[in-house]
Amino acid sequence: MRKYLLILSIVLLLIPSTLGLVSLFYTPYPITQMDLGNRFSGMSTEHLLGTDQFGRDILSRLMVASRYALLLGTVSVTLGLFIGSLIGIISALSKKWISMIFLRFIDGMLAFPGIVLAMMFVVVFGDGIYSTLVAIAIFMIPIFARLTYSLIKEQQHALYIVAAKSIGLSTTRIVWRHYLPVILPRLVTQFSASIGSAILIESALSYLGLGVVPPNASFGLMLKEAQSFMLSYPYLILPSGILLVITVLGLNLMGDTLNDRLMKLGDTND
Amino acid sequence: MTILSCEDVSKHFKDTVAVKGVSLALGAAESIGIVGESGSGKSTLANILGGLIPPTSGTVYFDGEKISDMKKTDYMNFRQNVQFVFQSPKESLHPYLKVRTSLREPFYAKGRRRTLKKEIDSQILRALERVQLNESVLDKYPHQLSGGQAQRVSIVRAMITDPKVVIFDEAVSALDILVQREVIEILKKLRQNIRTSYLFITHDISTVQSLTDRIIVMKDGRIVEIGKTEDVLNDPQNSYTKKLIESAI
Repeated sequence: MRKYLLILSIVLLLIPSTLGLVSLFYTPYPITQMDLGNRFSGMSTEHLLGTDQFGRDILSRLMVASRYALLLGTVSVTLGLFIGSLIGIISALSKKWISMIFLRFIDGMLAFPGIVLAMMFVVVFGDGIYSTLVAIAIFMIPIFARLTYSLIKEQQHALYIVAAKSIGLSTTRIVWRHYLPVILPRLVTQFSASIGSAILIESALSYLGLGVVPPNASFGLMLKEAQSFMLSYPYLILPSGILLVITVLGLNLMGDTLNDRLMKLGDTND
Repeated sequence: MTILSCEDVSKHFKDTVAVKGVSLALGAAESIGIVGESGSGKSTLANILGGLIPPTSGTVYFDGEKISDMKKTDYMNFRQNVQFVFQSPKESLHPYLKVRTSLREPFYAKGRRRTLKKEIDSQILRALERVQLNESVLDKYPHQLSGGQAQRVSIVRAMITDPKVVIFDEAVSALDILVQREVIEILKKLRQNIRTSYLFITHDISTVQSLTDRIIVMKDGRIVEIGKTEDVLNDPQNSYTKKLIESAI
């Protein structure tokens, strides 16, 4: 069953990935090209998914939106993973008072609703792709910091860690060669699941007009634009809505199956 | 000449006092057995002497220098010269690292990263020979080794860079009786060949009788008897020591 879930998640993720990758060098039409005489055209051989209220090609916009979603999600979560893990490692291995300062700071960040934090950041530093990326990365930092902190603390008294210390290995080597291989599966799982959350936050910000701004394309922005015509032209809302669900579902499934597989691997190695 | 010693060392864990005002000195190339039942404070004392945990009070000296006052480089030198062999051999080896990598690590700790891997590997092979293990274990993970093999790998790891002191914390307790004997024989041979000081921590006085010059008996965190191995075994002065000897027979 798990095997099929992994295959399903890969198949689901192949859809936005392929669309996004192809958009790097080809889109059927420029995403900003308007054709006011051809608004709400519906599906046709010229426009496979039809056109929107400005006569823009929906497929082209969807391809670019997929690219932004995956790129923003991956880059922001990677940033969050690196900075958060580093903070987590320092907190776990530092003296108590340093650890306390870091932990209270992380707790403070976690207590703050992520979307509100991201909104505040975007409002202060301006909207656009880069601000959205940094805002999501900031939101991810405490999640990874907390996780890494607890994973390291969990392993700190394991005999192989005590043995590594007793040999006289440097802290850097102990972290790199001893802690990391053990905590990596959990971080990879969290990484995969967090990209899904990051894409949802990006969509929410864009929907609220604080993320990716027109004339660029994003799932949230496309949903917001289609919302006004939902009753008269319902097909407008479907492509971006369905692709958003497919992407997030694929990432979450991937996270779950990776977790199971990597944990199993850890068990056999014990 | 004393290599590792402690003066009036105590260790408290919340409401429990694990070690109470213990002083002892381990000479160069000397072998001492610390014996006592579970909870007598012997492992805590070993961890304090080996620098794995700090004492609540008292002082530990290595080569005449206070551990607590050591600069980073001196401390790293101490750390590399006082090695441990732990009770659970498989748990003390990293589950995701092959034996080869685990045995290379002490060289990296000594800052010999630039030493040719070939040279390191030939030293590892010589060390494996001394503990009667063959090359095939190098490509195995700890879970693929038997208890005896894993403990011999741990012994090689602890001794491969010729440390001044090796602390064996219940190193044979987890092994079955036949493997225990094999490991003890190996340790006897190693003692003859290498000028290293040993500290054997055990609850079973019979396992250290052929390995140590002196025996220290601990009870409730204190030393109750100390003396030459033959003297303590043949003519124990303390009733607790007598009980330990009787239970070993």
